[in-house]
Amino acid sequence: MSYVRKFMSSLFALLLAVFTLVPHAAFAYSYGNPNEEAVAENYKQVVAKLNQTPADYAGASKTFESIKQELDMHMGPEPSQAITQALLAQDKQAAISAYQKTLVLNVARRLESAEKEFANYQQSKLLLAKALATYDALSPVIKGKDAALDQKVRESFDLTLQALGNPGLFGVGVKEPDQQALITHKDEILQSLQTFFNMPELKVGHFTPGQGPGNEVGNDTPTITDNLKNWLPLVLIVLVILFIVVRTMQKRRT
Amino acid sequence: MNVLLPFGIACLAFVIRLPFLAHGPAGWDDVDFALGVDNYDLSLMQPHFPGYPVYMLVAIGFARLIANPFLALSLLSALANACTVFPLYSIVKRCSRQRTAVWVAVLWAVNPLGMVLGTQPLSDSFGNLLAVWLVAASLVVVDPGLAEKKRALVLVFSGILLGLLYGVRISYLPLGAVFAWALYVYGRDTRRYGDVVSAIVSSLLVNLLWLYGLVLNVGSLTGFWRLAAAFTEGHFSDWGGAYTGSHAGERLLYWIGRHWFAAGLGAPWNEQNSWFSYLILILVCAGITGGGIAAGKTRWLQTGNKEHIVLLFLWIVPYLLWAFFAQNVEKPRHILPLMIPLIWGIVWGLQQWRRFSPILLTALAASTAAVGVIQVREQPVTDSPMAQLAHYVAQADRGESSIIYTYEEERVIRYLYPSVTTVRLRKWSDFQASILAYSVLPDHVYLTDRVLDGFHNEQLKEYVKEAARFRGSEWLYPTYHDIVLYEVRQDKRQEWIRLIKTGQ
Repeated sequence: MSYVRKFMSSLFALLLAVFTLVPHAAFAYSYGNPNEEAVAENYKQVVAKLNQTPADYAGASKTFESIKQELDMHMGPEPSQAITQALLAQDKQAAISAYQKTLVLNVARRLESAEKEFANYQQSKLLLAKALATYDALSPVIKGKDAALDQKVRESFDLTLQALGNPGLFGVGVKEPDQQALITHKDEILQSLQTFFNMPELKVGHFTPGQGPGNEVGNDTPTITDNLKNWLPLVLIVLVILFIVVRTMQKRRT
Repeated sequence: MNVLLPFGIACLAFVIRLPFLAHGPAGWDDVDFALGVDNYDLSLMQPHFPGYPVYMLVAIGFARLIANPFLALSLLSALANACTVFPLYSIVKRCSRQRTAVWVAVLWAVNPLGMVLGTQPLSDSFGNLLAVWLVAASLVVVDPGLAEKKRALVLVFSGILLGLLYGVRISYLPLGAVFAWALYVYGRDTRRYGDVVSAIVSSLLVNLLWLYGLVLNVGSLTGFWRLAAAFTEGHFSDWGGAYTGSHAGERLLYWIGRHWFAAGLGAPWNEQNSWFSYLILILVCAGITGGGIAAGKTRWLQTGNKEHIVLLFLWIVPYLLWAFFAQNVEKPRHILPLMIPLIWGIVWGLQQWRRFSPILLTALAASTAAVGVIQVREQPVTDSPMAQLAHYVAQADRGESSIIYTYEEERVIRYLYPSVTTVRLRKWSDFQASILAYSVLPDHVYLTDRVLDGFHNEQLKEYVKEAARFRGSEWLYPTYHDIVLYEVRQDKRQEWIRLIKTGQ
């Protein structure tokens, strides 16, 4: 009987250890969103401060300061200067409008980077997600004036995402990437935003592809959708399992 | 083994589920799966982390045959439930008698929780099939009467099954204890540690296989880790929830009463109060009494097969603790892997009533089937409460602008009507920022009861009126069966905004 008892008590010790050591939240049923965009979040906070009565300019400036440096680094100093000046002048409409234009520039930056990183599936996808997260912050403004345009831009975003393709699951549901489609739909989005926000051009400052607020640079290896190299480990694993099964099935000494 | 008998019961299980299969979206998870069979993409939460790769692979196969993804996945669940009869029959027959096996299988075929999950597009039924299969296989491994070669082969097979099981539902983690016991007994009996290592390696490799598949889908290992971190960071229990009792004892009573007795067996609870339910309660109590008396007299460890007893113990107890302490207490589906041992215990208890037992068991099977059908009957004909909510909001959105603050409901609304503006709230500051982002508020501002109750602020409720209410079966939709939609009153909008501006 002793082996049973020993086995059981060690098992319980293990279970107890798991329950106490691993924080409970780790098990909680959860779906986090890894695709948030820091600038867009900051914009929402700043606008919320400005829309208070009376408008909280000091609070808005303070909130904006936290992201200003990163913005300057990736988009040049002009966009943030416009926002800061409007905040100093206590001109709410000008500040919000300037920030919205900065967001449009950010969408452009993310989309251009996604195009440059096209061969790197995961990176380009993340960049698209961040572009969309930025657009989500702008969306209420557009929807309020032109719901059809909002619909159109969202459709274009869906199509850019589809243009990246999908590596599928074990080769099932593979969708080939289409760089030309990405460029087409990217241009549609940028054209729509540029016209709506009445901006002369979208190329302000300098874009640094793959970098930016809230986006650490990954040294990800490029993944091409249907790469034979990807199948090698899978085949290897299956072969080893087959080998084990066959070896176990073989006749053995008694 | 007589194959015809379990086959007949499996057919019964399948046929009884067939008319009640779900056709449309009902919640966050099934939308995730439905999106996933169309375009599997872990980073877009299609489905959410950890991706259910083995389940999704089978699901994609089913979705190739049937155009409606919800129907296809529900059919897979029904089929998995039916196939569960074979391993369960083998387990019970091996440990007990054929007659007991038949009764457990029949009661499983008509079990209410099995009927609900066997008609819904979720991964639980398929996961449970693999779990029961794993137990059946491990039971073969610990049988010293069998040829060593057969035991070794089944041991490796168990390892592979465990790997596949984790690829379906990682939350069935504690069932690994069953495999651990099989490894231990085999190693002790045969001293062929090479086979033990082979089985462990096979199991690890199968896990590696699906993990690698996931990494390929995400695009890189770093990206995969990022998703994993985001998943564990943001958690769902930070908002609302119908269940508020915090005391452990209270939680236990709720868990046993609502999930085990009412959802699991069909006993009375809230609106489930037909006389079938009361009959079930009486019969279950008879089973517990009969079983309790007999269990007291049995000297298990002297007379029983020790390997079997420990294995059954490890099937039940680790997962039981896990389900209670680490799983969402509001969802009865987490106890599915334990339904078969529970039914088995009740059958065994009722069999102690000797010559009355056939009558008692027949009555239990009949009333269980009745409650099972009552629980699922609205599923094919009525939209889920979340879908009803989505239809309502989409209707209101036509011509006039609207915004709706939701919690989990967002997934279904966005799936059905992508053009509706939905905001999923997690904290007060998000809400504040979102409302204040509008210089002019949309024509209609809606909030679901989950959002409003989640703020724990009575003042907020003074400015809203109930716009609509959507109900469904508590058993089909355990967490969102009663959704109240509130709208900010047109005459109080300014005060409402002022309240939000001042903060909380």
